Amino acid sequence: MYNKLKTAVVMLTCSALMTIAGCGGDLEQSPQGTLTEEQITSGGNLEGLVTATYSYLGNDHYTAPNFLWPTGNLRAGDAHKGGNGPGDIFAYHALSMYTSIIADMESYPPDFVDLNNKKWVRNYTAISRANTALKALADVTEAEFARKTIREAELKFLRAFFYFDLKIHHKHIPYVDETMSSEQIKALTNFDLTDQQLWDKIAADFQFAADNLPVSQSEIGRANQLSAKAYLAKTRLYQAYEQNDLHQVVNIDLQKLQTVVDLVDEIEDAGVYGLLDDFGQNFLHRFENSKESVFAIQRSRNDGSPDGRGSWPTALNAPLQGGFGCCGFHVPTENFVNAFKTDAQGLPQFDSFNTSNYVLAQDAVDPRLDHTVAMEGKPFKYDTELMIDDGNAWARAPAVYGNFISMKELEHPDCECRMQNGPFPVFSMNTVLIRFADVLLWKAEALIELNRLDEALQIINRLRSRAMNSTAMLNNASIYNIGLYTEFTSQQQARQALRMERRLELGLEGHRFFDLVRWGVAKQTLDAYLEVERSRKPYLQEALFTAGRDEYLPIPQQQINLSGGLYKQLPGY
Amino acid sequence: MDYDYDRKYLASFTLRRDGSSRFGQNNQWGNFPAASVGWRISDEDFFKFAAMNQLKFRASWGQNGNQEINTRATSSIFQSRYATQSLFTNEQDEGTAYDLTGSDQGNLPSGFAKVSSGNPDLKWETSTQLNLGVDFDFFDSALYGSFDWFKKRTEDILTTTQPLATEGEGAQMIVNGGTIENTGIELMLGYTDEFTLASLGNFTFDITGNISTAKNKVVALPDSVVNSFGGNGQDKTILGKSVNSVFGYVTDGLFQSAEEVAAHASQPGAAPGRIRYVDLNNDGVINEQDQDFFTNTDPDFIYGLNFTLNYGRWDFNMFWQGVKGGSVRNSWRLFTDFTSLNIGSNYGDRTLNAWTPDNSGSNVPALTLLDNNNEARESSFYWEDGSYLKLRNLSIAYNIDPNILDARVYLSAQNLLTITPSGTLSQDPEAPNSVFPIPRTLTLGMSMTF
Repeated sequence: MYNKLKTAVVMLTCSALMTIAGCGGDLEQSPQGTLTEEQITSGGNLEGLVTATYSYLGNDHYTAPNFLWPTGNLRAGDAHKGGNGPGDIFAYHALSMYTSIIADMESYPPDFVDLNNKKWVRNYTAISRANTALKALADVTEAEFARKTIREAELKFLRAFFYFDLKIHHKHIPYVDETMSSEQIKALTNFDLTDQQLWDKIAADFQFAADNLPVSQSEIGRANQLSAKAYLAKTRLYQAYEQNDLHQVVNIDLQKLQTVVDLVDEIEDAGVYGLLDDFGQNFLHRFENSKESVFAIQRSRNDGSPDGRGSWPTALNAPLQGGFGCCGFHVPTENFVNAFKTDAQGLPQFDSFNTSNYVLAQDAVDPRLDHTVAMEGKPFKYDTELMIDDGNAWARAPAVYGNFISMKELEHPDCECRMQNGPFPVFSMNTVLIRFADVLLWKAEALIELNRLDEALQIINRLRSRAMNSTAMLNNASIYNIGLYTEFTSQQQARQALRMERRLELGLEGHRFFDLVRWGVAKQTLDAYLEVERSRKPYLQEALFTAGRDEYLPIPQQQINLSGGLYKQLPGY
Repeated sequence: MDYDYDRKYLASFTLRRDGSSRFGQNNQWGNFPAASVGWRISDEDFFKFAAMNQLKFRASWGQNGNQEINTRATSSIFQSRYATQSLFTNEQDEGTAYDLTGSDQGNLPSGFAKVSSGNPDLKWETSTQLNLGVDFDFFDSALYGSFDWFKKRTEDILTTTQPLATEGEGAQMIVNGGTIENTGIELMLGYTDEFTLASLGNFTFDITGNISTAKNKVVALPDSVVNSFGGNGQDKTILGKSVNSVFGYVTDGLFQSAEEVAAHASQPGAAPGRIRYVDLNNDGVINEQDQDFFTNTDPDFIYGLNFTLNYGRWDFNMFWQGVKGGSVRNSWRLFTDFTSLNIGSNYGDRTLNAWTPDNSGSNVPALTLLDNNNEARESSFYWEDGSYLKLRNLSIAYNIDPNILDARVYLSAQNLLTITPSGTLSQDPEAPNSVFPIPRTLTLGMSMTF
């Protein structure tokens, strides 16, 4: 036995020795096909970081759109969600109901992803691309990189764009810039800066861009001095309506509104942007990057990307017929369609538009209706060969949502710009973020608050004149009657006209809810809307807008958790 | 290294030293030893139980490592990335291409995106397993079996963190986080015998049964990965529970009347015939804080029974296999029990038996086109007991006299029977969400040798 034991010991020692002798050696491997932080700062690569920041404008999707039809229109009484029922993206159904908006919507079907959190994350991802690029730019000189200041201005423009989106959705947000370390970022809270201070930060970025960008750029997708001034004006306009902690408007800062007027004057004087002759041309692919498109998301097709960089935010919005097939989202409300009815003078029926529904054969309307909404008895996208004979056949769940179709984001089915990705049609038609008409209406809004009513009247009439001349493509589909205002007798009447004009001119473009909150009239407008619409659409039976809460979306609970409780929730949630 | 003394004392020892370029400079190498010993106590001189032919004790202990992460986890790097896929809800384009020139088509300018943050301290995920067992043999091997106990502990599990959004793109890291323990036992018993029936002759048979159970528990959960396993990241985490736990709302039948609705906590969309969600925190409101880990998918135990009978040229075999406990998700209920969740699709015939005041015993919610109660949310409504007992194999065969033909004819059936508890709604708890059921097969065959 001893011998066997000795053999065992010898064998053990030998194996141990062999193991030790055989190891060692270098395991260091540098990753292939990538760049490190040091390599990224060379000139050619810096342009790549800037392009990557622009890219996030076009990386959006119906689950996290940069075209704000869900949060801008569904909460405003302008459109119903659509689709096959409330469970078809329940998080968007929640936007119409208000009461179902909660801090963590991860339990909402069909995909069990909190879309509020997802949009928040994507906005901060975009901001981080801008910050990364700004940090890299800070390390080079103008001598090394000639376009340093211009690109810095573009990056600040883009950063401010994404912060603007976060601000109008959530009011109190953490602010991250390129100078902060990881530790500093993790210590931020969303109440470090006040409401007004956050607007100032956003304005400062747009101001830098306005001061340092050329009037126009050779590459049309880039920001320029005028689009920066436009966004600066938009920021100051929102900022001028000062809110208290419960989101009520308590003061209007007239100085800021004067700035808005001045900025819009500068944009107009540059003579670059203007109104197209026909309103409908704004929503056709062949007219994209026109003089009315002040800043747009450049969409593309056949570009080598796996699914096409087309209008993914509206991939669900096509009707069931007309050569499409899916998915019937973004259904205009009766209230919205009725708003286009006009009286004998061709002016909106401010007090009575919603007492009865629009009847094609009887009611005169603003021509802009037929550029905005497609419905039974009329052609789809100006094509008389493509008549909507049976409205319900074109709709997904007409018993729940009705059968109107939002047309601004859709092109004709035969458009060369169309890509089909499974059931989803996406178009390479650009998403216009700032239309010149919008810029003019900001000036009009500011002028009214500054009590310069006649100047505001001229702007509003200018848009109505353009609408009057926009019937050429419509093939007499409806009875059209649109007139000009003769005068504004009071500030209140002027406000009413301006607010209605924004709804008619920019309808369904994703602005309406944010307008209502800015003006401080969300609760009263939506109460009036729901009181009637409930009886027309039973799914709204329990919808209820809570003032002091529903003006903003909650801070995503997942972010509050990840911050270790540093972020504080908004009131009411 | 193996050692065997007199076939009575057995020992084996191995040592692995693995290195991986996937880990940080500090931790690229891991040592993974393993050892096992065995003692055939029945061969000892002092062992005097005649009935026990064999009794052997076994013990083993070992470690191995896991390195299954991407090869770039240790550095902060930028990747040139044109565009990526946009697929339904979960993947969207994370590329860097953009149509700066407005040309609408063609190759686009593009750039770089930060991929992930480096973790130079990243190291091997290590599993340590201890196994103790005993094999035994009684009555000339008529009764035999084994019993095992094991404990496996996996540490430094490689997990991808979910970072705070403000940290920006590429802030997610792979870290070593979390420790999971699996403990279990397994028992196998068999009996072989023969008997004679006067007129027929000699029968031999063998019955073998096995039963095993295992418990899974997350025993350590560092802050960096607390959000990677479900829960709310604060007071409700997966620590102390099985890693297979399910997080969601808990249901309590259907509301039977308006009085019940009024008596319950405030639940948007509640009405008679609607699903009732439990107010877990008793605050009078049903909201996202009323979620918890309500079940897990781990069975209580699994078992099997095999029976073989031989008679002359005939042999007969029967094999039962079963699972007791554990929950399964019956996702088909979204389609079979609701008219509100997939309008325009075909509905299951369970909807014909939906709740009404006259049919108040039904577990199918009242029919509606409008899901105001958010009934598709993750909740115990969709989870049920996954127990089943199946007759996996039943076969009978005849071996033809080799002098005539060297062949065997057989008739066998697979998955002939599935027995489930009375409340089970899914067709087959083994695969509750398959589009096609596990088939029942009947085979008649012949195998020959030439």
